[in-house]
Amino acid sequence: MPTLNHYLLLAILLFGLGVTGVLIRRNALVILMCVELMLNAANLALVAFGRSGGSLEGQAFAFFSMTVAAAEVAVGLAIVVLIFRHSGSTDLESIRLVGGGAREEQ
Amino acid sequence: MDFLMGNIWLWGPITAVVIAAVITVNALVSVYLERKVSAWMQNRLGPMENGPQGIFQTLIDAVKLILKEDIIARGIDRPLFKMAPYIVFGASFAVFAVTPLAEGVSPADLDVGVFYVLAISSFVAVGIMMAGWSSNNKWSLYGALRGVAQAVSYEVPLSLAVLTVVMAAGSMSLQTVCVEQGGGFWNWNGLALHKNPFLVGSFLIYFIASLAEVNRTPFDLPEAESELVGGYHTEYSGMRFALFFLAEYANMLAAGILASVLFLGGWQPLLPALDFVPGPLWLFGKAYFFVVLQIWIRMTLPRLRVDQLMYVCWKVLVPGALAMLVLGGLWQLMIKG
Amino acid sequence: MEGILFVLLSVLALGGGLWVLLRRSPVDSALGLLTTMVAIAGHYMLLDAPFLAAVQLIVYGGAVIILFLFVIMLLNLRQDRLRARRLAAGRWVYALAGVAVLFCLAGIFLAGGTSGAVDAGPSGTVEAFGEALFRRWVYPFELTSVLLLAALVGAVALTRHAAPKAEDKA
Repeated sequence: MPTLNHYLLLAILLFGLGVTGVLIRRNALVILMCVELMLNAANLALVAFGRSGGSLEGQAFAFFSMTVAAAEVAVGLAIVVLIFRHSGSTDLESIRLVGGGAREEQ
Repeated sequence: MDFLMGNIWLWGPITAVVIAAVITVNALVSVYLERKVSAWMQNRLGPMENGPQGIFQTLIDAVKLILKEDIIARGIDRPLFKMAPYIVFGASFAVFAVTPLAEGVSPADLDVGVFYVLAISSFVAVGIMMAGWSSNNKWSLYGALRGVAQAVSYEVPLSLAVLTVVMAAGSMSLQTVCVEQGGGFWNWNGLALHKNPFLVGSFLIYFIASLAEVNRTPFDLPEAESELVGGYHTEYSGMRFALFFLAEYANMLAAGILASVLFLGGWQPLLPALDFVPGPLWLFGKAYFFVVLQIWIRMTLPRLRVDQLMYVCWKVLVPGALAMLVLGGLWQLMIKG
Repeated sequence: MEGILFVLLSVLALGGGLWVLLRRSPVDSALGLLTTMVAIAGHYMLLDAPFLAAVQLIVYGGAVIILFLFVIMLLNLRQDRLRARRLAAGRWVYALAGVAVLFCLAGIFLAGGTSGAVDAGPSGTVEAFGEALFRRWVYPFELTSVLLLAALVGAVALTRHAAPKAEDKA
């Protein structure tokens, strides 16, 4: 039987993966995906806490955070599309707004 | 949790095999039905060669399809290409797990039954997208983009129409929705003007949206032969194509089953006196009524343009479904107390 | 039974997460994310939150991943360009930082010392959850609709100006 600790450990690992991904990847889309990973880890922890505390509040929280995540993805992807139109790339490190738009890196 | 417990190791595989068999037989029957019905409507004979009235034609076609070479062209993203048909098929397969067959009999009577069906069937879009993208072919990609835009858009009116029924029944369990409609055909949601007249409007909206969800004419833009060769499955052949094919007919049947459960009473008999006919027969009879209806519509209506497709969804069906939801809810509150 | 499922789903979730991190092609990353989402939906089932599991599938599987894939295909990112620069410049430092965050969290977790089984409370049926959502949490619930509307308008307004392209995607 998995206990609360098991769920928290899983959530921590997932969150850590998300943080590492945001730090090491350069593609804006993948970074957004990693943010989703972190949000999901938090949701999992919330639901596990709610279940162990015997209330539905964890679920309600997770539910709201899912709607926020959906809104965030919609706006975030719109911004990525805009960046791509502006600079022809989704690579965050090649985007230099100061000094005239995108810079091609060798 | 208890539906996962108990005899899962025993019942899980048995249910899976039965569902797979139902899907396969359904494809054979539906293809034959489609060819015969359309032939009849166009004053032709249809398949006649193999067996009496050509009933073995689809069986032979299936064998041919399995024996065909499985071609994977160069430049294709292999793992994605290979995975896509399984995702599409798996999603249509999993939908059948909650079919209520008779009173108290269903493979898995989930608390969130209707919602589960909507959630699982949205995975078909992921598979379609993978197929279109990995094929590295413009027709496929266009087919996939159209298919996904259509599936995602029509999910909105579909869900809203379903929600009206859920509200009237007070439950998301498909079993409960069926039980609520007992006592003769005048109590079926789709016909019961005295119970909640707005459910009839939802029925219409549901049926139109489900046509779009299963990519049937007049909403068959994702695989429009005359424009896109074959849409997202242009590059597929052999067994993988057969899987798409199976999934497509399984989706038709699933849409029919869901329509009959939500709006035509599912396993409930036409009249209480006809109780002796077993529930599954009623359910599948009604479901095939919808399948034939889909074929009939295919033979009758031309294909829509992309902009017309979006117009119908967002400016006709969604407001209509919202109106049905609000009015149905008000009726539920005011009239029924 | 539950233990086996837990391990299986956890392996799937973590594997999907690693896949997101390590694959070159954003399409592959999106599919890794999908795997993780489905596995987490399975975890919600185990945690007796079937409604949330279905929401997870419909929101992430049916909408978020599709949106990601749609954008990837819309931008038609070329594979060869991505290959050259997948990881950030100071990747090892950043990776270390990520691992450090992980250890901090694990440290907090170990120091905090939570305990106990997860199945303490009443089961989270759809009915109970609906009651909670529409009584106790009704204002936040209504606010989310405003939030979603704002996101909708924002996304449309942001990508609007290239009208011919936006038109056929509707």
